[in-house]
Amino acid sequence: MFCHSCGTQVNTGVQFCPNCGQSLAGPAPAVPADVPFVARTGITATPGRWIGAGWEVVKADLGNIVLVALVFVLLNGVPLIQGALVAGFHFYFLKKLMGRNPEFADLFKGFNFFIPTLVASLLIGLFVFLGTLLCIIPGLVVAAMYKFTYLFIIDKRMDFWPAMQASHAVTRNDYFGFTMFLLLTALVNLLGFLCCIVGLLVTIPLTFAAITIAYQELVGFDPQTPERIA
Amino acid sequence: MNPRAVRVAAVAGLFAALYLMTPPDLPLCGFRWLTGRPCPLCGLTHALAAISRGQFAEAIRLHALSPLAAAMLVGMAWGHPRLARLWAPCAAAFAVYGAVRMLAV
Repeated sequence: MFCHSCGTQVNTGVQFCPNCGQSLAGPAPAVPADVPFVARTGITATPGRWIGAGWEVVKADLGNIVLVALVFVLLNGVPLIQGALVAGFHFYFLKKLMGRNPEFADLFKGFNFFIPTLVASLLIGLFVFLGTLLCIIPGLVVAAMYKFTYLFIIDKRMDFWPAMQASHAVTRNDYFGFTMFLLLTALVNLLGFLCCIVGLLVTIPLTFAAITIAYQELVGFDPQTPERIA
Repeated sequence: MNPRAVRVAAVAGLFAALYLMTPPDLPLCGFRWLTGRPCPLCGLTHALAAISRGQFAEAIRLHALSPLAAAMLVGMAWGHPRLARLWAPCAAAFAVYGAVRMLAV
C-alpha cells in the first residue's frame, strides 16, 4: 500500500508511515469534498462508441469478467448490498482502464464505501420509481442521470448526495443522449437475457465497462484511486 | 458514426414510428393506475402521434403542451449546449400544467 499523506510505498500493516509519520491505521483524511463538482461545459453522450469500447475491454479479459459477473448476479439477490457491488464492479473496470491488474476481490472493494453506496442506491431507486410513476419516461431519464454516482463515490471519495449531484452535473447538458445510452445498454442486456440468460454474464459487465469508460472520458480518474482502495 | 446524425435519426425515427403506428391504449402509467387522475405526461404519446400526422387541434386536446414537447425533442436532436438551460423551465411548465389538469379534469 501507499501512504495517503506523502505517497511513499509502505508495508501493509504498518501503523505509521516511516517517511512522514502519518498514522495509517485510520481511514484516509477526507478530501475537500465540500467543493461541489463542476462538469466541463458542452458534454454530449456518444453511447455507441462507449459501448463499443466497453466490448473491447470485456472481450480482452472475458474469462475473469464472466466469473466476476456470475458472483455479482448471484449476490444481487442479497438485499441492501447491490450499491456496494455495483461500485465494486466499477472499481474493477477502473483499475483495468488504468492499466492495473484487477483482481476478483476488487468486486468487494465497494464495501469500503458501504454506507454511501447503500444510501445512493436506495435514493436512486426511490427517484427512479417516482419518475416511472409519471408515464415511465421520466424514470428512464432519472436513471440515466445518476449512472455515474457510484464512480464519484469510489473515485472522488464523495458522499452519496454530492456524488448524485456530480453525476447529474455531467449529464445535464444532454439528457437525451444519456437516456439513449441507458436505453442502448438496456437493449444490449435484453439481448443477453434472450441468449439463454447466460448472455447477461457478458452484457452486464459490458454495461459497467461502458459507464466507466464514459466517466474516464468525461470526468477522468483520480490517479491515486487504485492504491487508495487496494 | 456522427453523434449528431445518430440523434437526428433517433428523433426522426420516433416521429416516423408515431406517424405509422397508432399508440395502443396500454395502462402504463402507474400514477393514473394508483390515483385515477392523469399524471403530468399522460396523453403525450398520443398527442405526439397526432402532431406527427399534422392534427394539431387533436394534439392540444390530448395534451396542451404537446407542441412544446415536440419542440423539445427537436431541440434535443439538435443538441446545442445553450439549449440545456431551457430544460428546467420546460419541465416546470409540464409540472404546472400537470397539476392544473390533475385537479381540474
